[in-house]
Amino acid sequence: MKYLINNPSTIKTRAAKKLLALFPQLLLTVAGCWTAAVQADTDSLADLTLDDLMNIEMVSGSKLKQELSDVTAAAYVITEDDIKNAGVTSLPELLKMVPGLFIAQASANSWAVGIRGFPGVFSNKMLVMIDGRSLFSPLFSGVFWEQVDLYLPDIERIEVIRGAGSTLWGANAVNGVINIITKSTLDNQSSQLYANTGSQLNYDAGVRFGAKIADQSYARVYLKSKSIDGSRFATASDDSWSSDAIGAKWEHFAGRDSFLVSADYLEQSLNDTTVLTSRINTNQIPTDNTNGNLSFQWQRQISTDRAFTLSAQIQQSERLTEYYSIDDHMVNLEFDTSYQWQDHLFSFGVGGRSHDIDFDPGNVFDLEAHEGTRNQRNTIATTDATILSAYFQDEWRFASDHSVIFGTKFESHQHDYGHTNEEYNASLWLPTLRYRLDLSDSSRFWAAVSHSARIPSVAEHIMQIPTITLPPGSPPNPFSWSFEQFTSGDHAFNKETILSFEAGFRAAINSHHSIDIVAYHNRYNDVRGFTIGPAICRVSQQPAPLCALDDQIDQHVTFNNGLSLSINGVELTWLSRFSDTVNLSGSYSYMNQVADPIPANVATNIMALVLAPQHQFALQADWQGLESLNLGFKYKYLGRYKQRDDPLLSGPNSRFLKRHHSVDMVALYDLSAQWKAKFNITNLFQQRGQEWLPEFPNSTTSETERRFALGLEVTF
Amino acid sequence: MRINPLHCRAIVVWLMTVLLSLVLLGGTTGASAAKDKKRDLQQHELKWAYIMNFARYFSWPQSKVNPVVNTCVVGRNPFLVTKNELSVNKKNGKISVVKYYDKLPSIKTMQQCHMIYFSSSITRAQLSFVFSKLKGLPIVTIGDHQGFIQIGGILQFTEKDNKLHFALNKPVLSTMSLKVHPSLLRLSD
Repeated sequence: MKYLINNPSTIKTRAAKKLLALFPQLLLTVAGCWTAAVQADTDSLADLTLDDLMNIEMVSGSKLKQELSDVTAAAYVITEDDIKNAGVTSLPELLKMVPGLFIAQASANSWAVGIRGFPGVFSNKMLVMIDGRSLFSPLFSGVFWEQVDLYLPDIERIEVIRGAGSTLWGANAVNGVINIITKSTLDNQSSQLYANTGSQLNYDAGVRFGAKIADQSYARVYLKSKSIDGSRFATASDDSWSSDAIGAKWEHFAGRDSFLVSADYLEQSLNDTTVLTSRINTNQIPTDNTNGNLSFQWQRQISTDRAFTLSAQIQQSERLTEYYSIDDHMVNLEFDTSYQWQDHLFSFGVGGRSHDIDFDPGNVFDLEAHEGTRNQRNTIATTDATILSAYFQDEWRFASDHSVIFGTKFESHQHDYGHTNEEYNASLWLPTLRYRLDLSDSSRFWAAVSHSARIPSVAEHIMQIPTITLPPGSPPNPFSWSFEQFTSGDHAFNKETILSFEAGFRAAINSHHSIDIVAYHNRYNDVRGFTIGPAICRVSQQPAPLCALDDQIDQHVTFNNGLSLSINGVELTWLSRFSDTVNLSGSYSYMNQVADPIPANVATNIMALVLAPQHQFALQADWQGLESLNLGFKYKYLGRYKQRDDPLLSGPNSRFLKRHHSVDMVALYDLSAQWKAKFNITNLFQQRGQEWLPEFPNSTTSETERRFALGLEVTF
Repeated sequence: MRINPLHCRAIVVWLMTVLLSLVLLGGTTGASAAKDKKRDLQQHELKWAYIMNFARYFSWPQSKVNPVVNTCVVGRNPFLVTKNELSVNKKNGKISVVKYYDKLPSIKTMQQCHMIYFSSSITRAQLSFVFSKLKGLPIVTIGDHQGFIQIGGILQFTEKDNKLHFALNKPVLSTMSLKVHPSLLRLSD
């Protein structure tokens, strides 16, 4: 399949060539026929009176997206109805329905997430945003998923863009963007209360009040709390956790100006089983998270074709454990403006973001050494990470059906490492060129080429993670000194770059069916690999075993940019309204990783493998046979992994590489207009299963289990 | 080339899926055409019928001399209809002319419309701006955004028991030089 896409010359027969040439025309004809049929239907309706129309029942809860997304990228939208019908209580569970996205539960409180490959608990190639506020942490370039604890009924939609989004969203939006958009306060002028409980879920309850507080001013406030039991099949560890959150949003509309202020505060207590090193003799680290943010946005519509937005955010988050702690203060300022001129839509923006991170490694981690000195211990790493950026984009409709989008972002990154006075500077151009062809009102073809980059995280520069700690003489340590091996950050570690090519076709075939097909080729260069260093004496800095009596031996496995690879893939989604009462949707994604030969001086480990199944398939059905009952059925298949023969994945890790089937079911019942009940079962046919593998030495992942949950919701 | 039996299984699963989807696609389109259309309507189809119907219930200042009702659809078009709209209503002789604008057109352009439907791609901040500019003009603004009326819109679609309803901004309507048929007021929420 890959060759068909990359090299059309392999299509040898004349007939095939002819057919290929006719393909766009064929699509146009088919699309035209369907729209004409729909037109005829609606015309006859216009002759009915309003009284007649008001008696017509609509097909409700339809999964069919009524508006064809005009995003020139591979986009999937989780709608409000999808969220309602999914009946789940956490965001990662919701994201499982997105094609091309890999989600695996690593423990009760952590998830490995990845778009188009590179999944992980510390996945570093995608961006998560809530109402335009980026959750990106420069410490490890990823997201603490358990901290994305939202009041789910207040989410309007989740847009998942697969593929490079760096031109608008910056470095690290390399493989995709998950953009969570919460409802406007105008949507929530009622109040709501919900409570869920289940086999692993002790409780999850929340309340929200919404009201008009003044003329053109609306506000809402929510409070939620949840407690989740440890996994039953996590024999060695306890991964139970609890989370409490409170938040408010205020909006004011004053003609051309609109203002938004929102604030959230979160407190969590959890047992972390994912970040463990060889120095600590425990299977879980009790951790307290707090996270508070305050956002302000001012939007001015200067005229119908010109607008600007000014937004400011502050955020403070703290991860306090018995062994180490992270404290991160963030300030973000952005100015975006758009201008419509003839057939052009120009967008321009500038931004500044600053993180002030205090990382106290305790005795769990070391910090990187000064040149010629030994590792630092019990020193607090103070880091200032600053990003200054500017972007420009032009969406130009140069003919009635043809558009091009081109633009670039410029970013300047600076990391100041206070404890060593080291610095890291990088300047990047992140351009994209996109083309869109509107075949009809309801079908379009698009293609894009983009260049993106991933900036190294603070951890990849300064953190030294003890992976093996061996007392003197204990096998396999042959020395009479204690031995410690580290996975170590290195200031020489630089950005990873990605060149991606994508093409897609999406069409609402008629009001019953829509399809979306995307093919991509991503080329990754300077990807993270490892250099295995020599064993050296910590004090004397001499090669082992030339150590003093009270010395110890260290070996560093340091990050380098030694790997390069390509990932090719195809993603297919279809949505169908099978009948008045049955909605069906399905998705399939295929991913093939082709790694370049690994240079002799470069090593790999678990963190360098792109672990994602080659085939993923999902089927979702909703049945609304009875007036107030909605039944949902979800099947997901994760296929084999390409790296199944890799020695790194032998032993206990091999359990994770099995093919995986899962079936989830949900029943939603409207008791009255105000009261709603739900019941859901996760992993219906599977008692237990390993979804993810440990990424850190000495850490564990839990097996998932069959779970059920009951819920009740009232709106008043 | 050696064929891995595991690949074969994956291919078979995939082929079955494609076949199943084709069967469903073919089967349902045929079946649905035969069914009673009235029971088989999606929200956007019904909304379109409402919008085409609303023109009867309003009398614009010029409507006695000019039977043309300009209906504008602003924002991403959710109706899946083609862009050539010109239809004569058999019952009252009004001529509907429908124009589509993907992006927000100028205020001057919108002033030429008698009715404007704003699709969900138009943000509330944009609506707030447009309403402030069209204030006092006899233009029926229609939308399905929650709070559409509260920020100054005229007619907002609502949903009740799977049926499409609408609410009118009566205080603002009463200040406009636009006659509203009493039955529309009666039918509104």
